[in-house]
Amino acid sequence: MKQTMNENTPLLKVNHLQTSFFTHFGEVKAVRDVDFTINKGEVVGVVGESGSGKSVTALSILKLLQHPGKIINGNITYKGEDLARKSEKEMRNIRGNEISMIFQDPMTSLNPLITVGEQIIETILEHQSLNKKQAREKALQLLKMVKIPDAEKRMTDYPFEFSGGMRQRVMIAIALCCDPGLLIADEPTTALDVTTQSQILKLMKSLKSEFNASIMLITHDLGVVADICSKIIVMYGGMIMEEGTVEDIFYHSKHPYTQGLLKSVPKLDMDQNKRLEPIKGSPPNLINPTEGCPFAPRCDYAMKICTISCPQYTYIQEGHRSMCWVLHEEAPLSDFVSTGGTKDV
Amino acid sequence: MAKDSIENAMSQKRPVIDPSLWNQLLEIEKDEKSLSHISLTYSQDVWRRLRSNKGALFGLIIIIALILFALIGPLLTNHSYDDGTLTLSNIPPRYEIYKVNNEYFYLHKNLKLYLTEEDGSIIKMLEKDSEDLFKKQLIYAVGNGNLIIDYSTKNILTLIDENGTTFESYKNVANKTNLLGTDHLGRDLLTRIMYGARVSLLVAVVAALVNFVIGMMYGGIAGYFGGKVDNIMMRIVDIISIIPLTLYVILIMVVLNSGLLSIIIALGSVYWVDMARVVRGQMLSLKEEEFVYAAKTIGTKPLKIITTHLLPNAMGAIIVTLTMLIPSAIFTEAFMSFIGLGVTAPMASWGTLCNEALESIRSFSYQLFFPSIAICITMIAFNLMGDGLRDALDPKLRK
Amino acid sequence: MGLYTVKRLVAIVITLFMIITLTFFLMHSIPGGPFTGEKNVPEVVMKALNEKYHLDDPLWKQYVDYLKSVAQFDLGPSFKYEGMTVNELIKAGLPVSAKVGLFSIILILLVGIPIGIFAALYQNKWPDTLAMLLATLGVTIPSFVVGTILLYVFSLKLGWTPAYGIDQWQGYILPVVALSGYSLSFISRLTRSSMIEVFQQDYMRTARGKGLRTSKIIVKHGLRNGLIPVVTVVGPLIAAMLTGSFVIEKIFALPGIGRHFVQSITNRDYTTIMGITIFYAVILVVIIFIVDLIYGLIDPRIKLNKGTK
Repeated sequence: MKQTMNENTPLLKVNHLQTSFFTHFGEVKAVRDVDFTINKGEVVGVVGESGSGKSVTALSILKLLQHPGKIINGNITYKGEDLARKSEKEMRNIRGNEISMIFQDPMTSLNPLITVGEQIIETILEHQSLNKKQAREKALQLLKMVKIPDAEKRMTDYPFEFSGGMRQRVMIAIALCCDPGLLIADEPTTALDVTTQSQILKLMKSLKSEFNASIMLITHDLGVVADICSKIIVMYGGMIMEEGTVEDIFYHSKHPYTQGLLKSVPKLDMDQNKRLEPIKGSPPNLINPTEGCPFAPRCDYAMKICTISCPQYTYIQEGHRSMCWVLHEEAPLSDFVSTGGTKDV
Repeated sequence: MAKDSIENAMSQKRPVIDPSLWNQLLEIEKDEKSLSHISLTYSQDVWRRLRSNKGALFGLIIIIALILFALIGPLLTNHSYDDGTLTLSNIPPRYEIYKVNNEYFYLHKNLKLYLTEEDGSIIKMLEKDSEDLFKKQLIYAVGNGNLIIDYSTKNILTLIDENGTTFESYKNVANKTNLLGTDHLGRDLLTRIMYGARVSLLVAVVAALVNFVIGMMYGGIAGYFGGKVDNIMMRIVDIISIIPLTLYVILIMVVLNSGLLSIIIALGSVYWVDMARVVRGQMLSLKEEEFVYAAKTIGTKPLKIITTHLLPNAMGAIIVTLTMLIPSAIFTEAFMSFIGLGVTAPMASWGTLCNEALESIRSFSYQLFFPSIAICITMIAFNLMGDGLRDALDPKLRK
Repeated sequence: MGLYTVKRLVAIVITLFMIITLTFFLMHSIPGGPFTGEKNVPEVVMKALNEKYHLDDPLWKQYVDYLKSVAQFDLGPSFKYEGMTVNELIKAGLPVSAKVGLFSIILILLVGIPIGIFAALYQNKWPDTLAMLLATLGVTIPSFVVGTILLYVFSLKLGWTPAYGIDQWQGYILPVVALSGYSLSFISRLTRSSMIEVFQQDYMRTARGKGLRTSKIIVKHGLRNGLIPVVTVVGPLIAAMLTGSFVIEKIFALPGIGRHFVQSITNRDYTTIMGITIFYAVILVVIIFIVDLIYGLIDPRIKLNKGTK
């Protein structure tokens, strides 16, 4: 599978993905028609508040959703092959091998009863034809690579003997142990304290070039994506609101939600007396969502049409798209467009 | 892909949109409802989950029925639990009757002949007039003839007339006099089971109350004060709980002699340890909460903090433990009575009923089944109720 | 680890000491009990008791004497059986009780745990519902009811198994089933809920994310974590089986320790009641100690936390 790949085909292509959870209260439409691509060597940041569908998208790609979650529609093409059609057995060969994942909470993501070394070794043995000794050697190298001090000794330690940051390093080592093509990191730094966060990010950055893997970085922290991503996807209510390069999103955002997000982040050069502006309201209820734009009830620029139907994407330029009625060619020139979407930013 | 889309979008003539739709959406028009998540208060949530749990509802209904059965049942029967007619001993709930000259007879396994009504109520036991020991026959003078019970064949009783013709059984009827039959002393089984239910429920209530008070105070004090006090108090609980509580109850019963009061004392004196543990655990976590610090800051006394702040918040766990302890207490009483340490004769408990019936299990198995079924149903009802409550009160299971 | 073991051993000795003391004074407080020197007991027994505990001595001396002999595993003469010692009674009953108990434990582990795992894997589907329905009945129906019903149906009505005694191997079937019923159901319920909880853990998602085989995920990552709570209830379950054996041995007329115990209660054979209680206490304490050690082996967190502090 690793060999047949045209230079121009994207590494991962997600098309019309729809994922729902069937709960007591009804169908929760967690992901509603999402499509995006990740190219080889690219670092894509997926940003949004909790409940926006970021993690569910990631779990859908690896088909790790558990009952009552289910992929309703869409296809996920990885290196030209549709993952949605793959059997569980075929998926096993992909997970941890072709595509690997780092989870949010390193404190609970490692098995407490198995030594750290063994948890790396078992992954290597599962996917590679190495003997136990070679696998151990490789695991040790990986631990050194993720900069765990005294790696040789730490191999036989249990996860509870590690700090949060160290555990996340172990998780990274596990994720990288089979040279994956794509690494999905689901809020890898959220559960860590600030200094550890930056260390982990730095580590991921350096490993990225070393392993030449594409990364899908899920986070709610815009600061994190600005640092290492080449492309940013902004999600809200299970849909992609805006997609673009770091420059597009940070300086030429064409979506009220993205702008709201940006305004709620403190900046170094900010006026001392200026207040941060939170986005009013709370994330949408995804059981029986409205026909209109999910953000409309919280949007300062909302128009009548916003509650009636969902806008289509407007392509501002190559690689930069935004889903908002304000950008519609028939839309009246609003406050939003007149300031070029960069009001107060 | 991206390029294609752009071109498509350009070339396609978009539908004309009604200009009025471009008006600004006013604050009040915004659909706030789409933002609100379904949220229920804790008690609403508990009730919703309890109600949707069929097992718990079933348990609740059975428990209510059981309470009615124990309280009202004895008022409706004209039998007493401690006084039986020996001539009416060991009569099953259903039997075959024979029809002879428009009179109905029931032939009992123990070589007894009863005169009955057609509907199955017993009129009286007939006295035999003579016995032919050689032919192994009992002779009864009935009306103008004789009825003979022939017991010459082993394990088979036949009713014959003077000419030796065997009567065929007329029909199988339900015992109208004693609905569930009688025991070996002729006491009405249904009445005894009703009184047994009283014993079980009394034990349950008293054990639960004692538990509640001692367990809660003990656990509350240990948990609230913590440190050395807690350490010593909990070591005592540890030591007590290494040995099965049943064994303590047995020892205490041996010392106190059998009886209902003894069993309640015995249960009450050790059965609080589980509750103490649970309450202590709750105390330890709750006492670190802000509202407790707040109460301390304004100088509230420890006892008041325990009773007004800590215990009410630990109530969920306490109720769950209680519902688990009640069937356990009922079981222990039945167990004690079964091994001969329970309530004393002529009082009836389900355990003693089972124990008495065990001796005649071959011939009169019904005497064992009815009290057994009573115990089983009660235990199942309390357990289902307890399981349901536990699930409903567990905040972890909230969805 | 060493310090932890020593600590546990000390706790064991203290526990046993407390239990012996408690039973001694409980029995002493009975009027007509073995240490009060009343004379309406058989001459032989009185003589044996006197020889052993010097009933004319002050209470504390009798107590010390009793402690001393218990420390040498000597539980003294029976109060009712002339010329018998409690040790002899236990020795006579032990093989029967131990066999029934051992078979029951094997049955519980080999059937109860797999049922629990199975039910967890089929959560909320019919095999789960069925298994849990049976298990709920199993934990709620008292062992003496199960025992009598089994006896009635299989021995008396169907005649498949002998009603009394254990001369044939078939004689073990019903007692073992009746004795293990509660614990088996309890274990399978516990295993199920524990496994379901483990299945929802993040590290299980990690294991799936690593592309491990399902069997490996369940056994290596799920089972070991899921069995930790199961190990902790082994002690209480053995205790439940001990008390269960009182009624089971009574119902099936097995000549085990449990039946001696029940008989000694009925006969007011106080020294035997004491002796068997202490014997049970020792067994339980030892089992709990072993379980603790196993627990330490399974869960590395225990070893470190308790061992080094």
